[in-house]
Amino acid sequence: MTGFTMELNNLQIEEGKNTPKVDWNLANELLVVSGKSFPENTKKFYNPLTDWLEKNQIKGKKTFEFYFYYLSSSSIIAVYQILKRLELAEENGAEIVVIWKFDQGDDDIKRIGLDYEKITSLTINHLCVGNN
Amino acid sequence: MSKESNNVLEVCNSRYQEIYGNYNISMNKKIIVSHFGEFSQDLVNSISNGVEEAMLDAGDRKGTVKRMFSILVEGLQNIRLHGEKDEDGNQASFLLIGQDDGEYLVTLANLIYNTNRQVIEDRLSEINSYDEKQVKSLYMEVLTNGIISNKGGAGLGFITMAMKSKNKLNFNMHQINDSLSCFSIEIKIDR
Repeated sequence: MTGFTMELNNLQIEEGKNTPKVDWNLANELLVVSGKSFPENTKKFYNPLTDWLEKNQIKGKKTFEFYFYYLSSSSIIAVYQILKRLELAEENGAEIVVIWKFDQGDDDIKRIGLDYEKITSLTINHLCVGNN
Repeated sequence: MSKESNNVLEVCNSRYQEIYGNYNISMNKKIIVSHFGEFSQDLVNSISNGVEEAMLDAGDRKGTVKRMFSILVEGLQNIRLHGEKDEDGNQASFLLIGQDDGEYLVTLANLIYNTNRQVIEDRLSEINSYDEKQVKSLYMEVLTNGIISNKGGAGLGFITMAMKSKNKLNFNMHQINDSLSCFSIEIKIDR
């Protein structure tokens, strides 16, 4: 895979044609996943993310921002699995802030964020972005 | 053996021609996409993006365009993950998109084993028997129990198609031989 860095504290994946950009560096307070997500194999793409969350103990305050243009149904489940791990981190003392960004008028992505809110204990901040 | 394989392709192709003819002649629809054969990931990407652009150019609302995009991504993913091959290794499958002033009709088809027919039929009949609210609660249930298979599927494909279509999912199982059927699903999107 090109454009892929995985160190213990730093996971960087460049945006692909059907995969989002991942910028997760524990040195930062803001960790971002953004773009289109309909990978050929969802598990293969998202496993490094869930593994990373398992290996790194998150301490203090971290903001996880998700800003998708499109999410395939299996990606929706994969992101849910990420949120479940963030829930665990929160139970273990971290202060997790989730920002769910969506373009103005993009009801699909907006609704997915609202669905997540119903099935996780995380506080999700819904953020509508600009004019579209 | 190869005679039987050719037969598989022929039967699939005749289903393709039949639906093409229906769209074109009986329903007077403009066919904006037609493909018979395999679907590589590159092709899936270019079809999804190409249709998105064509629809925006045709003046469709952004919401409608995204619903179509979603149906194509889910449907083509289904074909790639679950479409069986004939004895020559052909993943005989097809896609047709017809357009008129009022709606889009999308047909996606692939080979399935006859042994899987019942499961697919039951799943689709279940979804079709539900109203919008019930489909949504089925979606939430699958999402909450969410498991992604090693192939990368998650059991939300048909449910998502139904939610985006806002219409019933028409489907057909055309038996080809003792082992395989041509499974096709037609999704309607109002413009």
